[in-house]
Amino acid sequence: MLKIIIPTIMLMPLTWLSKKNMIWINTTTYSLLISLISLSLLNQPSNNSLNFSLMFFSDPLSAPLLVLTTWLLPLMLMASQHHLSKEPLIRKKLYITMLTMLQTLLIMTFTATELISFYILFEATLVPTLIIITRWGNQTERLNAGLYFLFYTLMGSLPLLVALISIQNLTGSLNFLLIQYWNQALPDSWSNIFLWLACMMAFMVKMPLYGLHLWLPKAHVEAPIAGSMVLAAILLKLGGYGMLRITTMLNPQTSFMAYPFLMLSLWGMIMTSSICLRQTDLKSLIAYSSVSHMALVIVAVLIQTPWSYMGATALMIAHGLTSSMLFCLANSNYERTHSRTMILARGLQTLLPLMAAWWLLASLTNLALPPSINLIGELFVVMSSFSWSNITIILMGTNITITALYSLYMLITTQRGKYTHHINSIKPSFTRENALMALHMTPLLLLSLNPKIILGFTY
Amino acid sequence: FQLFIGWEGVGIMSFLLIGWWYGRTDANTAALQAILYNRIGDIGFIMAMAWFLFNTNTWDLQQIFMLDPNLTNLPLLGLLLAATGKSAQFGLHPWLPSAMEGPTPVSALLHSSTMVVAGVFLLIRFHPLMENNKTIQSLTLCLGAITTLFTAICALTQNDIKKIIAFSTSSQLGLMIVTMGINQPYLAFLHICTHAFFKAMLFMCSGSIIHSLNDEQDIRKMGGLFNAMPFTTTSLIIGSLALTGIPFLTGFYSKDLIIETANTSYTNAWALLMTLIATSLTAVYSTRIIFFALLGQPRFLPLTSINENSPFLINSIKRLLIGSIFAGFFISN
Repeated sequence: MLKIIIPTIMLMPLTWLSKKNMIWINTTTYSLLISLISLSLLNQPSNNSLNFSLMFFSDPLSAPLLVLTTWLLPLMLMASQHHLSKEPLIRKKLYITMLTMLQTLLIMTFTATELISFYILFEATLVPTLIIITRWGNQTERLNAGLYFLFYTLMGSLPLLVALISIQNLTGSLNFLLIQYWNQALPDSWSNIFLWLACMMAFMVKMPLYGLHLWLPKAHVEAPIAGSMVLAAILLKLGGYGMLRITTMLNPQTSFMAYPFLMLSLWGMIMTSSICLRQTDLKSLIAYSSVSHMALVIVAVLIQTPWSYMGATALMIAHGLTSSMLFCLANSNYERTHSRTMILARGLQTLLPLMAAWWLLASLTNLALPPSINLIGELFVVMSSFSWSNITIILMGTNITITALYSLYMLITTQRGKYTHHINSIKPSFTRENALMALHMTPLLLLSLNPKIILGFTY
Repeated sequence: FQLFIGWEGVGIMSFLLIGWWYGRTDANTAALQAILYNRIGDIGFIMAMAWFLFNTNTWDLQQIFMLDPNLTNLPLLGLLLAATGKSAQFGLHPWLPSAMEGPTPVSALLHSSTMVVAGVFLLIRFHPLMENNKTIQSLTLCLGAITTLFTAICALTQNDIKKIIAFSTSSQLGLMIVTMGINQPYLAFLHICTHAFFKAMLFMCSGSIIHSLNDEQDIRKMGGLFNAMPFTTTSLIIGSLALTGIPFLTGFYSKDLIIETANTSYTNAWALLMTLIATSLTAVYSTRIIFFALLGQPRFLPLTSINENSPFLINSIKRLLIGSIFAGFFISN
């Protein structure tokens, strides 16, 4: 694990010591190399986890998320090049440093053994993200967005701290490996109910759950492109990952405690999808789409069947790649028209056909077209929720329809129709942008060939 | 699962192809409409998949048929919903006429012969399960009958050639669903194959007419093409005759057999009546096309470049023509 963490930390001196025209090249190349190292972790020989030390380990659940994280860093760097091009050198280096710090903390979070260290790193990831959003965001609302983001997440996670400390007192250790063997049922009492709530709320806010999701559209919309990418792709998955880890300890309360959250998720899924149909702001649409997909993951985790866990992990990875790609596409529109309104940049298929092809692929994977891994994730979740209760299929089905509708609505509004008359002075697509989209799409398509890797530990 | 991949893939291709001329807003809305209705049908498909998974532990058709589950109401209902969405049956039908915004070859391929029959194909594939379930059979029968009659009536009042043919497709699909309802999957499949020939040919002929009249699709503005475009005229007439089921052309072998079986089987009388009326209406609207487009005095502008010179077009129509005449005979013997 240190093989990955130390090079990531060393990316920071790399940025500060590089020459002016080499910073992007150096950082992108080395972060790509680091992601190649992390791929070796995917080779999990047995059902138990791969243990590297007392503090870090990786198992079939965290390995794909880890690879996703390391894969995204070069993509984030590539995406940020344009909007930082006019900044002074020090600020560029600061930005890259922030991203790298976030990356290190994320890697450590996904591989943490001990729940308290997981918690500390979980909170620590908030800081670089906050700095990225509030310092390099583009509108004045970014301050408000940062505030919402910070305080929502903190409010949710402080009870988690209390809960973890009390569990540590009770059982003597919060090490994952030991918990697997210790697992006994929690007795049914009021304080245990609060314990359940305390543990889950942090992740519910992070996911986000429908009622607590207000921070997400603000944060996603106001963040600069790399911030949006990392938020959508990874930080939301931290919530899912945490939930998957912690629900192993929380039986049997989960069987009745989960009901309100399941209802909220199922309903919220449909609500947020419907909101997407009426959005005028492109990034806001993608943000609400993220909430909708994550609600599916929440449902999957709370049902707690082997198929649903597989669906949840697959959906997390698939959604990470897809959402990140959609944000990059939205950003390419934003850089050209300096506005996020969808209708200002329509009819792009006539002018930028290759970019239209990427838009098409991204929209198709967003609506979960077979045989992409998005579909596999969604299908598994739908199957398991059908087994939990037959009626949920109606809600899930409605969601699938509305998802298809807004994805294609987004596609049609930005690509098709007659182009506007003011659009004839946009720059053509950069190779960098095309490479970015290709690098997002290629893992997605390749994973469709062998989804075993991302199906998590119940495969 | 593989069926689902193809199912969805075809839906998306339909979206892309209907919206081929993407500068045109009508085309885009039609494409989106197609996807909407298809997706609603897909919910049914997914529900059926979920049921099969949990009650028969498999998505494999062979295993499902061997296990022969009881109480198959729910999955078959799901499959029926899927077929309704994909094959434009009564509840989910508006997308098919709107899909005529696409280019004519697209209509010829997708929306007459191959894609829209995917729904019927799905039902045919699952017919061992349907044999045992009388409720579902009655449901399919009634659904198909309503569809046939409704769309045939709609076809009578349309003025756009492609829309008439689209409604005719919808009507024939209803007929295929009726065939499934009377428990004759083989006949339904036969009708799929034969219908493909003459429907595709009808679309190609209409495309030829539209193109030579400089993108004029309204039949009230056509006329007198009988002498101006002889080859297209002949194929159009033969196609319409085959559609109505004139003896010894292709349509006869499948359509007539369906009508005979329906008449002689113990089935819902109301559905039977509706089907018979719809079949007679087939003759009516086909004659309407012939009358307006081919006969009479020309009603289009004088300076058109009517030609049948493109060898691609003529060769394709020629092949479909031969198929329309002989295929029924060859397939059933």
